[in-house]
Amino acid sequence: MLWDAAAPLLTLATSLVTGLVIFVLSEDRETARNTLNIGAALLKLVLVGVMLWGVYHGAQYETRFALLPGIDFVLRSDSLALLFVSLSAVLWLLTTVYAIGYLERSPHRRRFFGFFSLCVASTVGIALAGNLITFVFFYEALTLATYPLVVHRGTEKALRAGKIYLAYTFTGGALLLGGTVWLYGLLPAVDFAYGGVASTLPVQDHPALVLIFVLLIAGLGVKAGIVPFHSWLPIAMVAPAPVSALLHAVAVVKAGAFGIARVVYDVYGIEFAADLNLLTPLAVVAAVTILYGSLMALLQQEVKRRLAFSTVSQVSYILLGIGIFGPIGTIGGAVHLVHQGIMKITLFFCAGNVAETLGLHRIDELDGVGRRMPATMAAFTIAAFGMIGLPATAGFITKWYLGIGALNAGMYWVIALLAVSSLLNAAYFLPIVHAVWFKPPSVRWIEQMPATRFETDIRMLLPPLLTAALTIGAGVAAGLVVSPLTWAQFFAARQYLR
Amino acid sequence: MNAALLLMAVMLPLAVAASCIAPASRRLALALAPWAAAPALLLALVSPAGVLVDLPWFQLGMQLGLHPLTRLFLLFTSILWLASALYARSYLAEDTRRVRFTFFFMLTLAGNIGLIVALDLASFYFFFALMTFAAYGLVIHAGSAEAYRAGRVYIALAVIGEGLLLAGLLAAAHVSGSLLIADLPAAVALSGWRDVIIVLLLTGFGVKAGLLGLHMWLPLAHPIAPTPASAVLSGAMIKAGLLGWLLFLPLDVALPHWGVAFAALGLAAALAGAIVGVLQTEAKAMLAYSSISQMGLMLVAVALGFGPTTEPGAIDIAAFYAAHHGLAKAALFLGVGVIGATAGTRERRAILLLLALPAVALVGAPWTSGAVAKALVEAQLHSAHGLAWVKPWLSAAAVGTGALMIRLLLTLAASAPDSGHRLGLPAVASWLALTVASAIGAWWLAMPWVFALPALASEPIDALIPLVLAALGSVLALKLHRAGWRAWQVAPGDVIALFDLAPLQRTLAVTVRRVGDAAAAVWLRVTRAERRARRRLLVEVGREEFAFPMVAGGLVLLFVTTLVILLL
Repeated sequence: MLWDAAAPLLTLATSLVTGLVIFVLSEDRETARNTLNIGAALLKLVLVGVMLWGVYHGAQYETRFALLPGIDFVLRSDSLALLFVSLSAVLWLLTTVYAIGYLERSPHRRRFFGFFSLCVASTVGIALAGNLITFVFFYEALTLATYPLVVHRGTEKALRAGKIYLAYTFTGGALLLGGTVWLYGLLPAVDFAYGGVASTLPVQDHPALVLIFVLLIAGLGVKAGIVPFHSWLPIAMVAPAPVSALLHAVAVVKAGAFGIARVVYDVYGIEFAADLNLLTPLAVVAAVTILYGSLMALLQQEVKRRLAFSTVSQVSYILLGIGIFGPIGTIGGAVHLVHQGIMKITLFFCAGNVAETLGLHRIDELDGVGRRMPATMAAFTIAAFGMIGLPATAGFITKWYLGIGALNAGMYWVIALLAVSSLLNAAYFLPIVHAVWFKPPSVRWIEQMPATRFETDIRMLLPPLLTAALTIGAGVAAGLVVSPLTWAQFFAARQYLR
Repeated sequence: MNAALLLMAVMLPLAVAASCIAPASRRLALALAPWAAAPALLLALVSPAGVLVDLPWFQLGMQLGLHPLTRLFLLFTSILWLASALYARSYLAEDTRRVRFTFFFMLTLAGNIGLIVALDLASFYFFFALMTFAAYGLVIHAGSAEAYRAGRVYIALAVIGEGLLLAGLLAAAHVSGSLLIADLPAAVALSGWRDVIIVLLLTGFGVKAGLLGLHMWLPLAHPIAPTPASAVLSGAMIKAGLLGWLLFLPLDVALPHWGVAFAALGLAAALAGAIVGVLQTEAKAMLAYSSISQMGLMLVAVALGFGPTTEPGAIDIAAFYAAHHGLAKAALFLGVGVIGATAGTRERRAILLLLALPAVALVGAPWTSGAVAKALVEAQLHSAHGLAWVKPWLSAAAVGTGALMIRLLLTLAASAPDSGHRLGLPAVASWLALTVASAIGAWWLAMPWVFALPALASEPIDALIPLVLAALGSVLALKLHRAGWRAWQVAPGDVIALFDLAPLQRTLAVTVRRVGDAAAAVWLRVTRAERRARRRLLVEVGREEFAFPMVAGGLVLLFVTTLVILLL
């Protein structure tokens, strides 16, 4: 059917075409640009919604054409892809609304929104990629599309951050490409498939497969921010808030984690990866990253830097879930792909609101802000509680599944890790929550924006409120069909019940 | 009908809390707040047992309902909240932060009610956490440096407790393969993880229950919180920890070594709490230490559960003890507030006399609920494995409590009234109602067992001995005091107060930072200016007040858990 073949491509096109058209529109055509942006984001939501409905009822959507002889370009919407695409579709819409408000009075908006859309298009490509080579293509495209966003402000600091970002991600990309080429040397085609394709190789290739695995994970790990490849992440914080938000929640960091999920589940296959003893080292790396990121976050005095190290820590929950063999652990990892996204984007939106509205960037300046910006800080508080993993938030669902999954797999140390990590998360989020609500202001706020009826621009206020509501929704209504948990269970069932 | 009542018992406090947010509905919130616990009381009185609400979509699947144990907890908890909320209305009438107080008070109430009616583990944990975190707002209400310090110790210990609890609940759910609380104890008893789970649950709930060693937040938080909040903290909320033990621990299974361990820990708390309490100078701090002491006695009652099954069972005895102590202690806390707001000499005398009622009940004087509680425990000690030695120590604890209560009443008698503070009639009435409930209500609860306790009828004089000894000791202490002897003073929070954490905190932060720097230098060429900026940060890190207790607690937790796993 035409629709089945076109749906993934159309989804990609919503963002890609938007980006290209924005470059053509002149800088001052603001209304046209905003309408196009929002319209495309809504259209994409509809497309994704239709595909979700279809896949849940057994439909298959695949776009495939030959790129080179023997190498196909494949876009396909399986359950894992849809988990990621839905996340990016929802958050793209919200972040666009946010960015329109955020960049109200700043220059170079055409450039910004153009690359912003290309960045999202690359993310969609990464999510829908049906084989390794398509994945790598979009993965590199993402690096290129994000660079102009990181250096958007054009300051010396931003340019330096951009340089470091490129150095890290291109090195990672090279490792990934190396691994991919090697793998293509062994296999005729590396299409993503439930249960993986690598297990068909004979035993003498297994050592090579282990090395390839290390290459692929290291390459993807740079973007996923695993220790010791994480240092670019806090530096890239100079980017504007909506970029940081998208970078941490959906685009770059998540692309790395998603790629690792693809490699483990759909290239190697979870059972084969377990046979090769690859999962435990992955879980250990994730554990080290979780602790290290949290410890470093504790030591940061700048809001965005603390959030950045928190991302380093939280994204590795996903890897931890991948490293735990068994359906429950898989659910925990997959569901955190979504949960981490909605929680972290809330935090970044809120940090951006405070920075733009009152000019506050450091944690010790936040005292008493809850009085001036109660809605923003309420959203922040909810997301912070989610990060700690308190019940009735999305974070608790993740933690619970990771914990039970680890116990089922006999990885008892994970329980201690989860407990300590929650403790550390509490240690770096609760003082902020306390300060904003209970302390008297320590610095004079300088209003940066024209006063409105609300505590800040409504376009910057609604997105964090919505994502905070989603954080609670995903935690409270976890048993509903539309919850991320249900979809993660759907995905895990396909991995193990074959 | 009953399902609606149950949902209302949980949702009404939440709704009142929500109406505190918008300025337009604040008046409504303040008007409703005193009655927010009423549906819970009604539920405890009229609802049948069993599953009343089943919401499979909520979190990991929510089931709410009642059974005999939780009905008793719900009964005394809702009475305490009702009285305290009524009291709070006049206590805080002139407080500018009363809307904020009401917000947190209602959230805490919702958590406390919810955890009692929760039948599944995830809902229990949710409501437990809601109560824990909302109570932070009550602890720091005064907004003083002292209140913030109390809040810091409270939240640090609470978060550590949450971590231990989560680990324990995960392990319990893992071995039972079920999320229903009722399925857990039996599965835990049979599993190879039994001892680990018992330790995790003992300590995880122990933070809330004021277990010796994790009790430091109690004497800091209770005195500084507003009086109605202290009453529910000490009367109802710390009982949530006890309820956790009763619901989750594998009781009614013979584990004599755990029985001995629990009893020893409980008695140590009972004695230490009383002794340190006597050395306090502030009435509410004395009451807080008395709570630690009394929770120790309840832990002894829990210990009975590791022996052979008895009638009445250990769970019933501990629950009765909780009801008795909850009512008496809340009456004392509210009474301390009442006497502080009363100026007339004659009225103050009358109040002191009425305060003596719950005080002697705690000591276990004849014909009080305390005597029933003590007799219930003692009657089972003979049949319990290896717990016969406990009996004299119970009497020693009673002497300690006696001395503590005498000290409390003397302190109150000598105290000057707080001239600026007046209480309305509803506050006094709610205190009186609690006093009556404590004196009579507990008897009503114990009715089924009273006639089966020969000790109560035949030896009422025996029950008087601890009180007499305590009185003699107090007279002696007063004489010594007049002769110029001075006892030590122990600052509230005892162990915590011994350390000045600031230097330790800074050293630790600097060390961690250096390690971080070294790692960063390897992976990233750090410019010299950046290094200098970072060094400046070092100093600021010292201000990170939460960091030390959290990190230290986390490392201890990691260490202990690893050790336990290695030893298995």
